[in-house]
Amino acid sequence: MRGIKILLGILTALGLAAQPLRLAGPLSGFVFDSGAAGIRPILGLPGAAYVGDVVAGGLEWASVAPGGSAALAFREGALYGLGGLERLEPVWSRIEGALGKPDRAAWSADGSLAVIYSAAAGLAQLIRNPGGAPAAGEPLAIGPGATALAVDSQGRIVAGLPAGVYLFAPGEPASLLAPVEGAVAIATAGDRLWVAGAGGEILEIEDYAGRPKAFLLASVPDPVGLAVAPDGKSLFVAGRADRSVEIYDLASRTAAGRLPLAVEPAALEALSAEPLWLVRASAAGSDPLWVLKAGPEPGLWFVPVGRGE
Amino acid sequence: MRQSCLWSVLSALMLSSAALAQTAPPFSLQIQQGANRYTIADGGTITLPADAIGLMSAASVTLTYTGTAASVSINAVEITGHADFTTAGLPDLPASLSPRQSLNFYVRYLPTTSARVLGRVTLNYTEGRITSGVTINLVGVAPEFAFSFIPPGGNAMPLAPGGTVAFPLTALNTTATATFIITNRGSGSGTVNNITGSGAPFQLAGLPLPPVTVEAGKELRFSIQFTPTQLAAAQGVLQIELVDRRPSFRLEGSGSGPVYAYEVILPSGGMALAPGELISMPSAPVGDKSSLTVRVRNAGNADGTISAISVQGAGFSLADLPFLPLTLAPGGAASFTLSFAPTQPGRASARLRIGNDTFEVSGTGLGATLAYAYAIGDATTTVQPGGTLVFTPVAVGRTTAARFLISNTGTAPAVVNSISLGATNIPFGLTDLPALPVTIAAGATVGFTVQFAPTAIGTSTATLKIDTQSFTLSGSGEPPDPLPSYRFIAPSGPQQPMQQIAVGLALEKPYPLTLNGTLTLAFSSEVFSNDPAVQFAAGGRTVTFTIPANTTQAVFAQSATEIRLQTGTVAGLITLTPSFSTEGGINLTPSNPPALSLSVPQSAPRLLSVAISSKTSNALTLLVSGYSTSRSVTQMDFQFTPTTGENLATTKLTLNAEPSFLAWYQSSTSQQYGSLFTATVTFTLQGDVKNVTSLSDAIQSVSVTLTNRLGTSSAVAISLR
Repeated sequence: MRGIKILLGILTALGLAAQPLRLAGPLSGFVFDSGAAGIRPILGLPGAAYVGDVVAGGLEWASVAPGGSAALAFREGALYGLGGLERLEPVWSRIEGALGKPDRAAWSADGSLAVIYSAAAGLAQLIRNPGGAPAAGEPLAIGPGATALAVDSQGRIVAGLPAGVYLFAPGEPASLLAPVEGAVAIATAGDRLWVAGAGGEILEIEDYAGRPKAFLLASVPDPVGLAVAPDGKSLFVAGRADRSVEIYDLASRTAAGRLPLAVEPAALEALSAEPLWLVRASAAGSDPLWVLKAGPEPGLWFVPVGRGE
Repeated sequence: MRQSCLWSVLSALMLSSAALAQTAPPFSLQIQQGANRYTIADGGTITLPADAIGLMSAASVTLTYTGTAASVSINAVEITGHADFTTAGLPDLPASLSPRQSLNFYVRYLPTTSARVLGRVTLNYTEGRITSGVTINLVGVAPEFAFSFIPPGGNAMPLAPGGTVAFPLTALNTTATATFIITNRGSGSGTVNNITGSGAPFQLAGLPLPPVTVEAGKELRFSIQFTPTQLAAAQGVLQIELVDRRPSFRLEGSGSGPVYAYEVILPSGGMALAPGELISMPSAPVGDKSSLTVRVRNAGNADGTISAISVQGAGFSLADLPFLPLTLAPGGAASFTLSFAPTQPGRASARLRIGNDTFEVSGTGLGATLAYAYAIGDATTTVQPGGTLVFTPVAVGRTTAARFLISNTGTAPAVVNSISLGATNIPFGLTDLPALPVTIAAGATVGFTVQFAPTAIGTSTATLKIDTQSFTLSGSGEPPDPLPSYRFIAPSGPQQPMQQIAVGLALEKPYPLTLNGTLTLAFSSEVFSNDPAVQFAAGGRTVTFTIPANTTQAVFAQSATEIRLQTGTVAGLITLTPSFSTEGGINLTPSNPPALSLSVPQSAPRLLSVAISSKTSNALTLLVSGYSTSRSVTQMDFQFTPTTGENLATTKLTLNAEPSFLAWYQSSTSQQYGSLFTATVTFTLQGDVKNVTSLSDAIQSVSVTLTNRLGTSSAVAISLR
């Protein structure tokens, strides 16, 4: 690629110069395909995307950070941190001292931190820098039966336990944030936290790491996922009963819209730094993924799991 | 007769010799007996043979004067000898005869005995002066028949007419022969005109053809055969037809031997039975047995021997048999048991043999018997277990049926517990089945319907099971109806890139068969590069569908009536072509199946997003995402808007991107993304700022456009603050 360098400015004004142009294929994220036992990229953009070949295989379990900056993978009895996925060339790093095969994981928004959870042991564990030089923290006994999990960039763990939603901050005792039973999903943004309960209640908890204050934001029948828009202005709640995604304006705490879905949602997992979420994973080989794209032209898109010829 | 003639000749010779010594009388003697005329000389002899004693024999005598005198006088005629001779027809005497003149008279013989008798007729005459006589000798003969017979093994016995020819006791069905003798003990031959016999067991044998002449002293023999067929005395009559009478004789004989009398003994009593008659056994259920006693008694007059007693016929048997051979004295009896154990329902028959006598035996087995048949239209065909029900050939997709009938032709109710087909997923089916188990009364019929709906061309077979009986179902499938025309329910023609459009498929009219189909997507790129994103939602470029029977709409995976596909980001032609086949695999796809064509045209590039990848005080990196269906971008234009109060020496930057994009679109990596790309553009900043602290803060926003030879994209702006 031929470099281009153009001097735009003059001595008394700001000048700009363009560095060499680099071109690549766009990725919409990564998914763990349990059937293929591997992590597969979503090649292309919604509307012209498909799930590509496995880039990290032989996995018993995996979880990918939003945007694909990192991943955790369990293979042959060990937990690995993976980086370089965006280049489709993963770099494997064994994570010493990690718990066994996780049952659940959650990521901080920037993907720099992850928490894994072992249901049998009732233990959670922070994994720092999973895409670079991963390091496992001390196992944290949060108790069995966690149904939802979240972690912020500070390493604070929020877990939906049978007795309610608890905050586990480093060096501090666990504190009950809200007595929500059977939390379905938890999302954080800044100092706020949102919880979807199995009964359909959507709670917002302000200053959850300081003086938490909870109140009911909305009620969505059979919620299955929560997500905060990358700009932090909107909250998306996927409801299975209504086959829709409800949109709330977080500034006014009012409903801002509703996206009907052609399929029954099962989750709302961030795929990338863009407002793009996985709504429904593939249930079978011919079953496509369904992704929700927010933004000025929101829409639900299928992503074929197979591959064209 | 021969003896009599000889005697006549000798007499004539003697008279002739005497005449030679004397002068012969002047007369000639003409004799006529019946049609026989002859001449005798003086002293000649006339033999008069009578047919029987009491029957006259006569001769005409013509005396002709042969002398030369004027006349001759016949003075007297004398007859001497046996009194059975007489004359008749003489003229009054004396009578004169002129020369050549004749005198006639008769000589008659009426025998009173069969012995030979003699007599003489003398005619005295005077010729001139000479008186002399002419002499005719007479001989009378007559037959006399006597009768006798020789019984079998015996001696001859005389028999008078009306007497009896008695045969000794003769074994039944054997023949005794007696000889009957007719003896002519008279002097002349006699005639037997006919011999007849009557009486069934009596037969005459060795008879000559009548009439029969029996010479004197000779006899006629013939046989009388007696063949008794029963013990009772037999009688007959032998009749002999003679000339003068018809003597008859009684024939008598009696048979001897054993006569068997049979009797069937049942608990209800006994019943006499004649050979050849039917013995009806008591009915018995299949698997059970009925019995009766057969008794044989010698009602004859001689010992009888029974060498064998047997029965032939399925299900029949004998028991309690006496030791064989069995000798039964007159009046003696023996018995045995005849049993019937039917192995199947219905009438069974057998033959029972006792010695030389046979009997028909029959019995009825009580039980159910199922008969099977099937009816197609008006034609009913019987079918045996293991046989085949053959259906009329029918086109795949259509159905034909046969009515299967189960009839109980037995004598007891039958129960059918199960009616089924030997396999599933076969083109045969059962309907109208009776509620099972079903009881079929004797003589009753139940039925159900067997359907044949072929799914493939050719012969199909299956097994129909009715309890333990199996029948083969055989049907022939003929080519199905042609596929109706179909249409796509989808947009066609030019389409926007990056679209996910739905496609449906429907027949113009329902088809009677469930159809399986495949919809195949083909992508023909206009720019020599494939786009792997062009595929169905289900993945890949083929999807299967079904069109249920008697419907029109194609149904894809998860019961969807449409399938979605992506148009991708590369210019080209997307073609969807369906194929159809029956569930049996018969291809119904037209030779040139109509296809759906979608085109993605070449166009100016399109920008999808512009994002800030990184921003430092003196550098700014933008991520520009978009696509170009022609896979070409020649230029990128950036329009910078300065922050208020700041000054940009140049606000527009144009980048000749063609070499970079050319290299990108020619790379194999780019093939995975169609024409999608993400361009990373980094700007370095130089110069002075007035009101902001960093160089990058001097830029308020940037707007980007892309250009190729088909045009320029819309601008996408991003705020940097």
